[in-house]
Amino acid sequence: MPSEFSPEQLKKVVKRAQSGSEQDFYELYVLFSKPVYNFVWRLIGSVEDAEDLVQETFLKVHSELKHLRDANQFRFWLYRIARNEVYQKLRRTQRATEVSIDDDEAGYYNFLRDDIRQPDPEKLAISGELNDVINQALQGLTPKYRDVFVLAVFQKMSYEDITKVVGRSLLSVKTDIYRARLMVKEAIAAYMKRSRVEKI
Amino acid sequence: MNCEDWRIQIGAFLDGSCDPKMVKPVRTHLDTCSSCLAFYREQSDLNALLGSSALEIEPPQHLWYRIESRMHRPEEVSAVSAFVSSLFRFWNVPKLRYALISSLLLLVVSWSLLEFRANRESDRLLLAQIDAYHFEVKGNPFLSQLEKTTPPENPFLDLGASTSNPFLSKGSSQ
Repeated sequence: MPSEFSPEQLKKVVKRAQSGSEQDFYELYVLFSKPVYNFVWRLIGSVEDAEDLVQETFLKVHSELKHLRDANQFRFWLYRIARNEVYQKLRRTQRATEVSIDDDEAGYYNFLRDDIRQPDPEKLAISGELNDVINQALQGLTPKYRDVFVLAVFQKMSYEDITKVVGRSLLSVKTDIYRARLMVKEAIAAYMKRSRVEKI
Repeated sequence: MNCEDWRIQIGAFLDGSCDPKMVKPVRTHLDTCSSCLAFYREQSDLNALLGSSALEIEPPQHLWYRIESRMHRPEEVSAVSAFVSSLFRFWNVPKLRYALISSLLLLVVSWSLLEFRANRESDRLLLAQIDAYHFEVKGNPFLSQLEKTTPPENPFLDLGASTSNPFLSKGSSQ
């Protein structure tokens, strides 16, 4: 979770945003846009799609926020909306079980152009390449494994919190993360081996 | 527990989500099982690599402006389109979708059964009416007699046929 606000502070910001304060809604955007953007990007594998989906997520949050019963649940609710947006997009484009190499490449090049905060071009290229490999490995997972793995490893969310986002049991979440770990590890290990051979 | 069960716990341990009661047993197992220790090390490296902030990307600056411009756009949806979109939203929830499909199926099956039963009932009534008619006609001696009698010959025709024309007969006799 972004650490700029304590849970109590976050609750107050959410409540003020619920009563219509746009400044507080912007605070929530500043706090959560980066983690949600990265979460969506890892699930969908494309920067353009991630941008559109995060936009739709925050617009939905803006229109539905007044209906949120418990301000403490805001974070889970936000991730759940983002996840639903991704699933709807996957369903629409019928990519739930397919990996599009073209899209992954587009995601890679757009990543290089957008991430202007990386000062070292070499580091940028390496992390870009690694991101490409990671995204390919993630796209190879079924959505069921992908979302829990991204939440646990990239978003560093506790398993208990993940159950609230995905609506599955703790045991199922634990098992799915373990299986995803094995698959992703294999893909990354193959990449590492390949890059070591290329260096030699 | 076998090693796979232990590794599920080790994954949770690495992600900081291990059940507090399991922390000590996981550590003890790691001290005794070399293959699970190797798994722990690999996964620990993987977590460090994937959890690195260097791999994160920043949302583009213009994203907020895109959101903000849409936030202030007046609602242009009509009541009909709002209703249609709410139906689609309903359809997108798998459990509700399955519930709707199964209800419709149940409705169709029940309707077919009721229709079948109603048809059988009307057939039965029709047969009963036919039976009743036959009983009424065949069972009643007078009615059955009536049915058997041939219609009487036309007396006028008989008369006409038997009576010769007096004029013609007169003429013909002369």
